[in-house]
Amino acid sequence: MLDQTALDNIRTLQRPGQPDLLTRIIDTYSRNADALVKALHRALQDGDIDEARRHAHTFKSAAANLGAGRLSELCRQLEDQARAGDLAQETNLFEEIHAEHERALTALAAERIESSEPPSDGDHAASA
Amino acid sequence: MSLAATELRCRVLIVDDDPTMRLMLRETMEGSGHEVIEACNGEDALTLFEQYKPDIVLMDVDMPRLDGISACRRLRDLPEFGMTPVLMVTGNDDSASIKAAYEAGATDFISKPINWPVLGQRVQFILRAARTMRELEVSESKNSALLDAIPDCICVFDADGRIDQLLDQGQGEQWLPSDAEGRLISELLAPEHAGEFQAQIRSSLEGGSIQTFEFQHGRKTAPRAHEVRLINYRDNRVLALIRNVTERVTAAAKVHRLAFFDTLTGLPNRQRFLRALRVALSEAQTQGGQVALLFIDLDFFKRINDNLGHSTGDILLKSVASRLAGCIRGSDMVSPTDESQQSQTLARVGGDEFVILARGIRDKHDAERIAVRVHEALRSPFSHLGREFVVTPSIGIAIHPQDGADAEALMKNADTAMYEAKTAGRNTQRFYSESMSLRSMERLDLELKLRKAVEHGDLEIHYQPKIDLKGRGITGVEALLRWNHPEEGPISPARFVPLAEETGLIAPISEWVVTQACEQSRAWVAAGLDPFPIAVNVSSQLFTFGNLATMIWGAICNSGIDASSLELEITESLFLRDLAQIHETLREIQEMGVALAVDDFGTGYSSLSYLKRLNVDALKIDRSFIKDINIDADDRAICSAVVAMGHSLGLKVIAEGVETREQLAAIRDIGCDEVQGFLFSRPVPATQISEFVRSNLAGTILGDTSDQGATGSRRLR
Repeated sequence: MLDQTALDNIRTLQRPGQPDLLTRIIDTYSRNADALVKALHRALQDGDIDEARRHAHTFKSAAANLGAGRLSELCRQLEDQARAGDLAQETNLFEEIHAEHERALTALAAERIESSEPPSDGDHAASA
Repeated sequence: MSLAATELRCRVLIVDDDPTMRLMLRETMEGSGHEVIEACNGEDALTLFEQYKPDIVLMDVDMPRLDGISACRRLRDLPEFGMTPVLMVTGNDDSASIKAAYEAGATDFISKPINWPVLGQRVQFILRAARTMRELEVSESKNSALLDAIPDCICVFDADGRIDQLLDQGQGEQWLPSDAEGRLISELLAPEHAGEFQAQIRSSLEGGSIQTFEFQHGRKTAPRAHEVRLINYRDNRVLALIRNVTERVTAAAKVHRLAFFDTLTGLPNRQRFLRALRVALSEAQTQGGQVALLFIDLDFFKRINDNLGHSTGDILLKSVASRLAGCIRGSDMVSPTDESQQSQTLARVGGDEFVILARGIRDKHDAERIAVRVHEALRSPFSHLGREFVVTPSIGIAIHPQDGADAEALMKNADTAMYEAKTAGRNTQRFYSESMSLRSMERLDLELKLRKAVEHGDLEIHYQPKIDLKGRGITGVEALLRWNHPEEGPISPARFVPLAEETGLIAPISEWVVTQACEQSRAWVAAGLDPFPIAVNVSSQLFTFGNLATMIWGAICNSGIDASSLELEITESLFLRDLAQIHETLREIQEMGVALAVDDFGTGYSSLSYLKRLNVDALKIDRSFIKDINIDADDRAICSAVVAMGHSLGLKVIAEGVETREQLAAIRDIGCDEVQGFLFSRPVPATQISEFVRSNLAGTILGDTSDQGATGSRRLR
């Protein structure tokens, strides 16, 4: 389900004495990905192709970072379709993305290390 | 956490809209000991940049509210930006973004998915390079700060500008003669400097403050700069402290040169040129008028570098630059100021790429005249180490406003026009037109498709048999490249081979063809066929890569076939090139036991001497002569002469493009050895070749023809 190379890649960044990095990244991702799926769904419903393309693009690389290859690939397909202005098949594709997203979340949850501190709310940009 | 002493701790600005990415980038950077600032879009990045002055920026491309490319461009325009490196984070194989990023002034890029440990190293490397640049700047100014502390000359002036007292002449170069007392400043300095001096003395006496000013004098090759401080002294007199600041001024100019000038030729570099171009365009927009951009690329220059080494290439580039500089008007190539006053600017923007910016032109003829001057300037050969080199330019011209509103569009369109000049046969010039853009888009599209086809193995090889006219059946096959695009259908080699040659894709494609041919030969023998050679067409271009012989030898060894099972078809155009090197490569290939045939013989620069010297094994008469062999007496005479000549040199002669029985009969009459053409078989997939050999179709057709017999024989389609 998840590409372990991508996860190992993240584990190499772990600094001693710090809370488990992979767990923090999974938590940040999970929170953000839910929002992305909702935003993507809204953009598709509103027929806002450009917005849909951008969300799919962001989702694509976020999923790839965490080794969710199939999810990333589905997002790429949606991004390509949106770029070509063709969203005729979007409902099916979105359903697939949604289902794959849920599966990825389950798999990622298994990679978490429970003893880690609760994730700090590190989602504020511009914090120096 | 311990860090190696050489590692730099810096302030990093991370710009990305994805919080996961920001977290990982932050983790990587903090892991290397850097301090991190985060921005989630381009606009925030600009604000935070001004606030925190980071040492490096890591920037995502695709973001809401100002994307990364535009943000990078805007950063470059900030006065405090200086030489801060920008590392762009781009999508995988998003070559358009990478190109746009460089054009927007990015320092480097890294593609997603990111290999995090590599990112850390990359950032260290960029920071080190930036630090070296900065240190150079600092050390140059530190040296000059020391020099600044020693005044060169101390004297007292009266209100008229007369030297009342010379207190100290200073060390080193003496600015004032020892008998300067009692003389007027106007006697000692050039009028424009004396006037300025006099005015400053007056201001000092009136205002009572310290006046500081700098003036530059001396020759352009040995400039002098002095800083003067005037202090209202007493009795309507001023005390003057005069310092030589030449060092500081030249150091500043040197740093400026390093950042904005090409170190090889001394011409402005791309960055500086773009700046000058933007200034010229905005002037043209406010004041009206046209601006021409000439994009000059030297034809086949890469070959000089490849064959004779970069030092020779560099020497030639310098000579080219100085000849080009000689043919532009009002050039002032090193002065950092007043560029708006020039009518033309020359710059080097790539390895062998130069550009000329011409302001205030009246019409396209003005631009064309410059192009003609460029051609003339490069016409006579360059000599170096007793050799002569001819360097020809291909020039593309785009004119503002009609061919581009901004600097980027104008550069791109001039480049497109230059490409058209190359396609038109090089050593010429072309004006940009919109249809060119369309063509260049199509070409780019085709190039991408071709790259994919090469990667995915979508190319195929078909084989066309060669038949012995004395009835010994199949004597060999020619391997022909086919590309059947999944959507567009078959794409002709006439379209994609030239493109492959321009883009360098010809090398991997040729290697693939040779390898496949060797494998196929092995497979046919394994399937029980008698061995026959497979002829492969080799692009003349491959002879400049220098490893053609090695590549062929590798393919033969890997497949385990006999070298005589491979044959190379080369074209006459090859012999127009640097013969010694080509001769050497061909000799190596022949020594392996691979035969050589000259393809399309008679269409180019047919020369008997090379046929003899290069020890060629066969000639293939071009299909254009065969086509009308029964109608056009000249064609028939040419074919007959080629056969006679070939035989007298001991070569085999093959007729290509044989489609009818009548053609076959004529070819037989003039004594050709072998034939190839639709009459026997089209180029077909490998499996059908086995069928062709086993069914002895060739024999049937030959028999039919010699009997002038029935028409109903089967052919392969």
